Amino acid sequence: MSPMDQNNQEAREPVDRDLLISRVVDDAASAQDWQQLRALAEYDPSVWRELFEAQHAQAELAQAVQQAIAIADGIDAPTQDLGGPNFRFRFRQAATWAGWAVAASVAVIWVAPHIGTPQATPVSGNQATLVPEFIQGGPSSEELTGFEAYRTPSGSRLGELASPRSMTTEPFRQASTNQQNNALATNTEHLAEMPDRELLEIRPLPNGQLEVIYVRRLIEKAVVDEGDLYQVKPDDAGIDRAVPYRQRRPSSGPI
Amino acid sequence: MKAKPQSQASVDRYRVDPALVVRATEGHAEAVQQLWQSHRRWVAAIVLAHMPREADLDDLLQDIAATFVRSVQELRTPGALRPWLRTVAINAARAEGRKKTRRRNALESQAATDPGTFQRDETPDTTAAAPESADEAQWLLDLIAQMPESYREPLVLRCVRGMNYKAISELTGLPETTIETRIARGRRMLRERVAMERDRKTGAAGASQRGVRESGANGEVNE
Repeated sequence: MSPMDQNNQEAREPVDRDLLISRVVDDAASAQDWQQLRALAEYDPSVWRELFEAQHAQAELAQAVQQAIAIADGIDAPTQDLGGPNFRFRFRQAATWAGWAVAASVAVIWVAPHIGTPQATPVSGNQATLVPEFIQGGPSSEELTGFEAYRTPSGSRLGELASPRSMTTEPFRQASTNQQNNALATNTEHLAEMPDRELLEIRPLPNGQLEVIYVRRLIEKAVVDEGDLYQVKPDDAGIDRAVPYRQRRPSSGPI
Repeated sequence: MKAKPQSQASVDRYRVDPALVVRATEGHAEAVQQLWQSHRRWVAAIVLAHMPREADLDDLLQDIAATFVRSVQELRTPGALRPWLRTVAINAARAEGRKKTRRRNALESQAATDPGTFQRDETPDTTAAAPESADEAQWLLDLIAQMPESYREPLVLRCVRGMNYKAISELTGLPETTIETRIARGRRMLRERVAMERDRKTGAAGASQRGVRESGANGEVNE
């Protein structure tokens, strides 16, 4: 019999002597329980003796258990082993963000050749509405050193991504031809934007406004040839390198 | 027919404070400590219900507290705290049981190969002897340890202050009616075992007294 069947069977059993006595011992007996117990005792007075013994046994057992588990009161959690306040939490968060950073790097590698040729970016019209109002009035992309802006074909800005002129994108740039760039550009599709944005910096402006620098994460889809895709992976020295992406192919099995 | 609802205060005693759990998962030492302190009693009861008779509850609780500190930050939701902590406690108790069994087997096999080195302890096992010869509380706990596991845990948990049917049901993930039934059956089993052991003791004492009287009588006759 499975444990589930056993549980169901236990629950279906009619109220009996053991259950009535147990409820009285636990001070959980209802008026109906007491009525049933009295009715039972009229035919079999030994119920009262059983009830007395059950109460006595429970008192003894409770005392024994309380005595045994009182030892727990002297055992504290060894929190001095925690690596300082919030250390592990921060470490975990950093690890999470590192994951995002790697994902962003891969995204940059995909779209790097496309930056600087904005007219080739296929974006549907309604995606331009994702840009918040204050971005429209913010500094131009030219003012943000080290950043480059995406623009829709109509010229409205979508936001900023880190400069492709980073070490990790170089191999891709060198390996890519104009023909590949065009193929990538025509196959890239903006799907959505992640709802949360990471704040990098807030700078007060002389006119009293605030300049907000933050990261927006866009979800994009691109169709590329396998030879054009690079992944960022740490080498033996722990330095991130762009390496060609290779698909895992199912093995042919034992010969 | 249902049992009369038990007091809400006792249910709330072990209720998990979500804010406290969140702080603990963020690594705040005082939150981790507070969380452990508010749950350690029932954790001890779980260990008591599952550990081998000869194990040391103190040592096991120290191990569980260390695991708690090490892993509480991996909890995803506050609701998962109690089931997770219960699993940690049960695993620790069972691991101890396996360790004891392995040690016992190793000693027995060594004794079999080299009987000169190891001599079997001929002292009788008094753990389940009558209460007069051993500590009453320990004797009861030993009797509990001989009961089926599914009855043992609810029965022991019910003895922890504030642990009523609802709280035990939430902790074990079993329906309240099942918990109630198991406690009732468990109590019946325990009463029967206690009565049997006491009868045996009384019988043995009676026989021994009769033996003394008979030998005394014989002595008188012989003399």
